[in-house]
Amino acid sequence: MRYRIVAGSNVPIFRQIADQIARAVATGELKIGDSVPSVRQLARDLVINPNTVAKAYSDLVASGILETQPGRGYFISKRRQVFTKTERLRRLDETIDLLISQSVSLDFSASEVLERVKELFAQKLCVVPE
Amino acid sequence: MNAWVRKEIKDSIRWLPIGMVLMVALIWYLLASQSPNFFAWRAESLFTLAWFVSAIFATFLGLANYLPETWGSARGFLVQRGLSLHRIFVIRAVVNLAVYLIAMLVPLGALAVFRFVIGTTTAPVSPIQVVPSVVVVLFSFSFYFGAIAVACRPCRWYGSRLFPLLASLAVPLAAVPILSLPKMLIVCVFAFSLGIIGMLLLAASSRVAFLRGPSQPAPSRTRNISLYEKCMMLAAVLVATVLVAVFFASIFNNSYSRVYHSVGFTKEGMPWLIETRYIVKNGSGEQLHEAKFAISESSEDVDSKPDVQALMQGIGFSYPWNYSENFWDMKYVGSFTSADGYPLHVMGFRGLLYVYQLDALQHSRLIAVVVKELVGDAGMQQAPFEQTPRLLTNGSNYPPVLTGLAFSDRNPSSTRKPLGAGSFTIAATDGIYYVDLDTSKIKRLLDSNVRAYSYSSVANGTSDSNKLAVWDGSSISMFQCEGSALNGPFQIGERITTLSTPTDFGSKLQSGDVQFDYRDPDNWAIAIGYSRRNMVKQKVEVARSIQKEIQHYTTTIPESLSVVNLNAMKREVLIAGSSIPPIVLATTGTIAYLLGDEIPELFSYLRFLVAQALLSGIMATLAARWRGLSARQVASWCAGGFLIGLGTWFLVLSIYPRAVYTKCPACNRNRRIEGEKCESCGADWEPLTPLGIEVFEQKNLDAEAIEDRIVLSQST
Amino acid sequence: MSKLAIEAKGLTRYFGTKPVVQQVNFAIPVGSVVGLLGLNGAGKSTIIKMLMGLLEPTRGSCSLLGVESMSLGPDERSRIGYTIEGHFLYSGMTVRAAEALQADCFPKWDSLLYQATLQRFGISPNERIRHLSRGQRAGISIALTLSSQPELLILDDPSLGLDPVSRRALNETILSFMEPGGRTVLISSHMLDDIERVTDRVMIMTEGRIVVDSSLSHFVSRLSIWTCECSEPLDRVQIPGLVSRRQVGRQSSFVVVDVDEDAQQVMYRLGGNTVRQEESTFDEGVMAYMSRSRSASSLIPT
Repeated sequence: MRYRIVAGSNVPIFRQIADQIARAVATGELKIGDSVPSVRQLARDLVINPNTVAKAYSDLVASGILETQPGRGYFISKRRQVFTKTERLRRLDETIDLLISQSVSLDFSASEVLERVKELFAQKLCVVPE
Repeated sequence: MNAWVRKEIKDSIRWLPIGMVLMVALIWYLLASQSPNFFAWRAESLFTLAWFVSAIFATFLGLANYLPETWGSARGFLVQRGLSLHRIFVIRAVVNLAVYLIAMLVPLGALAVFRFVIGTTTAPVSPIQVVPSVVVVLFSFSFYFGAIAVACRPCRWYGSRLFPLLASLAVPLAAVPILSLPKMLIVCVFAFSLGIIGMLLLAASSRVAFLRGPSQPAPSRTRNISLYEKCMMLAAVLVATVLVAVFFASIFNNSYSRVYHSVGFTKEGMPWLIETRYIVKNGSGEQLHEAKFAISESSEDVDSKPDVQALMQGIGFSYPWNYSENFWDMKYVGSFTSADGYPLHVMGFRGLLYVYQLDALQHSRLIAVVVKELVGDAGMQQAPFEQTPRLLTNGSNYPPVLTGLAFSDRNPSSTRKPLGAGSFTIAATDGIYYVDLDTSKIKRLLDSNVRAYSYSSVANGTSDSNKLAVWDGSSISMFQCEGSALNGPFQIGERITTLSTPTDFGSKLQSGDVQFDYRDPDNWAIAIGYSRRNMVKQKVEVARSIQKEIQHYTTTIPESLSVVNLNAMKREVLIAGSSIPPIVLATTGTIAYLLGDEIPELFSYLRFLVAQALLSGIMATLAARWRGLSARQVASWCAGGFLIGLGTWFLVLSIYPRAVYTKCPACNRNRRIEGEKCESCGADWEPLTPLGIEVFEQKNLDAEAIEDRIVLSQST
Repeated sequence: MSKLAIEAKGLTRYFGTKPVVQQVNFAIPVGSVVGLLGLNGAGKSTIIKMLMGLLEPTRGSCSLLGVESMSLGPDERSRIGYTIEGHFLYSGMTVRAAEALQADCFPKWDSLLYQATLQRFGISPNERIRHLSRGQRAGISIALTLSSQPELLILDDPSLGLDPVSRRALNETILSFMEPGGRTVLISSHMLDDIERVTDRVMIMTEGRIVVDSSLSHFVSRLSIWTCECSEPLDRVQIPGLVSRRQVGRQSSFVVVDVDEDAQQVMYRLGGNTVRQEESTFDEGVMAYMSRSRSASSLIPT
């Protein structure tokens, strides 16, 4: 896959990388056991500090998306939950908060939003809605 | 390092043409003044101009190489390399010295070769005359170091920035005694060693200035500048103070261009001393000033003797020739017939006498070379015998006033018609010789020491060449001469009379002059005046015979009227003169004393000297306190002020940077910003009060962790 | 054990009576890429000059590679690379001659690296330096600095006046310099994008003092931006940890560090329910710190 980052954007570079990998995993572009570029390789490709890549990778390891095999590099790990149920909910709520405020300001009703969320969910994950 | 050497050579060789052109222009100027300009022919004129040119070029070389490096970021680029600044300094000094020497010495060498080739046929010059110039060129390299210090010391241009050049000025001064070498050998050796020390000192201080560079005077530092730089600044301040003092002294001073004494007689035959001064009043033109003094016991008011007449021409206590006798130049010989410069006789090296004919265009041409008992033609350069270098006396014992200038005659005119070179009479220290070029004969007319001589004067300033008076140092003899020294053949005949002239001047007697008035064997008058080297003590002895009755008079001219004192009489001059640093006055006074001069002027300076020393001490103290020095330093600078004079104030200010204070939060008193501890309470600096917005990550990124991560990813 | 590549202790420098650098303390371990940020005149260049031994500290000390800056000798200097503000070079030389001169002064000179770096910037070695563009000069300057294979690289505003392509080349060069490990870089720059990409740690200076010394992510994570609508003038309002404020019309935004209960209360009291909180980006954070010193007088709590 192709990684791209924008310096000076709203999102710090390390999070841009982490997001891209997480999204790729979510969309199935990266599958379990796939390797990601080495820290050094990716840093060179993106012209960024290796520590930034390392930080992104270690965040991904922490959130259970990547795993590291000593001497071989980083791989997409099996899905495992590293957070508790409450923590997961809290994280979700944060994002939904944003969503709600945006929806209100854009004059969408709750049902419209729900509908849209379902649609997009289906598109992204290629799963048939129930 | 080789690449750096190449760079330096490339950088400085481009200035070579500038130096060459300067030096060639100087030599061209000297060669162009090929008229019988005695001064231009002399080694010291070349010396002075070479000094000037080499100082300019050395300064230029230093500034051109170092000043651009203080602009912008150039210094960072220079410094940041694996080559120490010391080495860069040394490479540059060597390369620049080479360029400097090539630029300065090649033209001088060419001049020496040129003079060797043309020999002495057109002018009394010799290749050896460039030697003092070479020496001064070597010493003038001090300006290069001065310029480096100027470029690298980050001071203000209107402050002490240019001062190193003043210090540089002191070094080539050491070359000056070489111009009077055979006499001042010891002085010369002493001065040379001082000059070399000064040069090394300047080199060391410019090196320090370059090494420390613009970082040097942080606005407030307790650390001093280096000892070398202190010495340099001290020298600069001394030179500056002397220059300023001399400048003001010369403004206030009426300079006396000439002082003559002559003797006149009243109708009764009483001699009077008549003093005549030509005064240049602050450069506004020449004025004549006359005063009369009674010589005899029966002193009466001069104004009541309106009929005092000057029977004699001026007795020469006038300045001796400015040309000091030296090793490098040929000596101009006083000859009986060359008073007006036609022809010109020059004592060369190895006892040769060169005779030049001057044509109407004032070009000189060698017509004969005379050796002791042989007259050769112009082509003969080799002397058959060389052991008699002092055969003929030199011109400096015969001031031009002796035979040429008439008393009270502003524009003396020639009283003798110009001669051909066929024959001439010449005075040597061991006698008077008649030289006949046509027959190639030298005849000794008088076998006696000759310290001074004179023809009898007759009224209105002309002289009678049939009567000759000769002073041999202890007595005056009068001779009846036959024939004419002007037209030859010339014979010195019988001795008319001899008078002894006892003198208490002893060996320090430097110059004397004889005046002689002869009417007939029973009526004549002779006056001899002589002085010591420094002109302070002057004495006149007069003998007159009226109807065979011979009277002797002797008088010492009051010291207040001596040339030296005349120059120093005004109070403004004294004040300005006494602001010369006491240490310099004491040194020069000591040297003068050791050389045999008396130093009466020092005493007249004394009261002003004390006042100015006190003032200097106070000012130095104030400056030292202003700079926030410790009590001991203040005290020593106060003492230094007494010695160094008014410049101490500036010296202190330029050596120590400005003291900057801030309030100490612990004791609320002022403290220096550069000290780690407060001077009053000993407190450290407190951390700055936080602004409340600091973001410090306590755990520094662990370097090992970073490396681990990278190594980890590399291995994939 | 981590060694320190750069260290400053109580570093202070006055120009006349004006303090330009005040009691600066920091320690940069080997292996970091550190960005030094600040407005012009904040003291960045003065600090770098003191580090390089070009300027003597008024008090305090600093050292490079464990050696006091003022006594750096040729041995230490040949282990340090320094590109000078404005990329000073001996402009009369050709690119090749410049290399010869430099190679002569650095024992570990790598000529291949020089050629490679020149290529990256598109410079031919036969050209005379004075005929080159600013970007190319910067390239030579960086090539000259890097080819001596220093352990410590200090770059004083290297990207000033560079076009985007040259800037990218510069970033690549710096990053590939770091690859062997055991090396350290200190960059002073105004290009926040470049700093964000290349460095792992930033120091921000205002008025001669260092107010931020942190990894990028830590720095950003402690900042937040608050916006609210408020009609009354806010100049007098005291908000703990306020870095800077902007007011456009009725809309005010505040950059606040380490928001706590107090600060939130003040904010809500001012703006009521118009108050919003956002995360700060790196750019915004740095800008807030820089613009703060512009209007510092009204913000410093007395």
